Amino acid sequence: MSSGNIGPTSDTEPGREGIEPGSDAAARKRCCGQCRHFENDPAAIEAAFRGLSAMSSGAASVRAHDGLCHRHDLYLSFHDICDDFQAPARSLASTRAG
Amino acid sequence: MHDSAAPSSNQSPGWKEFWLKEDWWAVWIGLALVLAAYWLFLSGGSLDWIAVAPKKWSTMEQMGADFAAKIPRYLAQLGLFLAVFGAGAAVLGHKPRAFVPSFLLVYVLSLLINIAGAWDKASVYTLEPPLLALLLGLVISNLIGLPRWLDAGFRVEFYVKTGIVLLGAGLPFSLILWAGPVAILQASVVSIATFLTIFFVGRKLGLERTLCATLGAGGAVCGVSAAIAVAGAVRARKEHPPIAITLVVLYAIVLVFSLPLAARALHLSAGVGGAWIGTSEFADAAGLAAAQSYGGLAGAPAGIAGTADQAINAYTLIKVVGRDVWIGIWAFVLSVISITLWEKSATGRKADGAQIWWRFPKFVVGFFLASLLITFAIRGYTLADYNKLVKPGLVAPLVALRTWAFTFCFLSIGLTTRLRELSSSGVRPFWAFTAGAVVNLILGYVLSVYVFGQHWSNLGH
Repeated sequence: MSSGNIGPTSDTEPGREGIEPGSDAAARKRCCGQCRHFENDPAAIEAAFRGLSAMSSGAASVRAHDGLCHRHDLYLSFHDICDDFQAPARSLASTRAG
Repeated sequence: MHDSAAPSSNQSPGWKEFWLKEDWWAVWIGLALVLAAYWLFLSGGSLDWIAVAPKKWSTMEQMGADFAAKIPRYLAQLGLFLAVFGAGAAVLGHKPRAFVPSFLLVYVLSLLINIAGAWDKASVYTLEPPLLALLLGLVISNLIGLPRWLDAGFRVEFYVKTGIVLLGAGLPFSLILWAGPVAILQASVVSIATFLTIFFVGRKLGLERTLCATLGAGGAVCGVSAAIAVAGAVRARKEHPPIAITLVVLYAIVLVFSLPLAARALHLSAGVGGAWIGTSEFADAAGLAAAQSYGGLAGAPAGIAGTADQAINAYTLIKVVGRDVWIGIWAFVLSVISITLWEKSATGRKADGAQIWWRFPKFVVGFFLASLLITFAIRGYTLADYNKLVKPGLVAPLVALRTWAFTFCFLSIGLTTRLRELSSSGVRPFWAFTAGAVVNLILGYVLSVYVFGQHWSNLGH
């Protein structure tokens, strides 16, 4: 999990600031795949990428669990992490209720 | 920007993989059919009755009589396909009320295509069923148009992966072991050269590294599937995958028609032609259509040396064993490069090696298992017994079912390729990809014909 703000470096292309992959246990709970901005439903991916189903598929293994980040407009891994993580609305509500 | 407050419905990795991925459904369906065929064979029966296909015909009367006699078998076959593909499609999220009518259309059109392909003059007029299916699909989707909901049954990848698992049942494991290393060597040389060409030409033209990697993987490994896998691994911009998809689809459609014509003009044997198509065609499904078409020209009257099986087997070895299985490695290596070189930051970053397995095209597992199973089943038979008993009773019905699955696939490619809907690729990505395609075609030809020509010509002998 990101421990702080990851600023752009000279090697980071514009628009990619704050995105980094990670793999530790704590980060998995707040990985991109659990974020409200992330979408990896096969039908949504096929709708976003016209022509995908002509020679591949949204449900193909090679796609793993990658999805679209609507916050940064990137196509990235389920396991990536980011400073801009936001829990889905229902998670926030249940956290507050608890 | 999407800013919905709706809770995330994202699917997380885990055991769900076994029923939420098309690849695994192809494995289950393919292996179930192989096991059923083997069980029936051991019991003295055969899948032959339901693996029905049109008989060769030369007059309309013959064709009509053959069709009428087989109507109950076609209906049973339709029921079988509807049950297995329908179950998979339903779990994968396609509504049965959309899938069933759509698949009925696919089946009826496939039946007409296979009847046309069974005409004894079909090869003279280049009416090979794979190309006919593709062409018919393209005409319907681009000139007539179909409602979008019918796409539920046009599952190109589902059908081709199931067909490839069944294809494993026709390929002895010893042949995979014998020919596999050459396939891997040839495919690797061409894949690396193609990727580097696209990547560096793209960089020279000022394209982003992630776009160059996405395009390079699309041209070098397994087409659209590789492009989308690498796009996720290197965190491409969301507009990058559609650019790669457009270029792969357009080149694949051009090559599916032109490669068999070129191979025929150059008098390549079936095995060599299949190897060249496997090396230089970009997408699995489109390449299979080209290889199956070229295999259909083997022997008289087209006069292509070798057998139809050699074209299909050479293609499959190069494409599946030589290229597809390495996509996880490509994605992992490129994600390491992306993290360590392209997007350096103050904190340490890691690439997860587990993606080599996540992204592994799992249908290949079914392909190998089917091959192992049939190799086990035919052990101890003499060649004479194999030709007399095993081939007609066990292998031929599986070949017929595989041919149906491939016809569904080729038709679906055409039905889902709506040229107007493809994204504009832009001039610079086009030239970068074209440079890789030229290298791929030339290197693929040289290796298939001059370096390993003898190997591919004698495949399976």
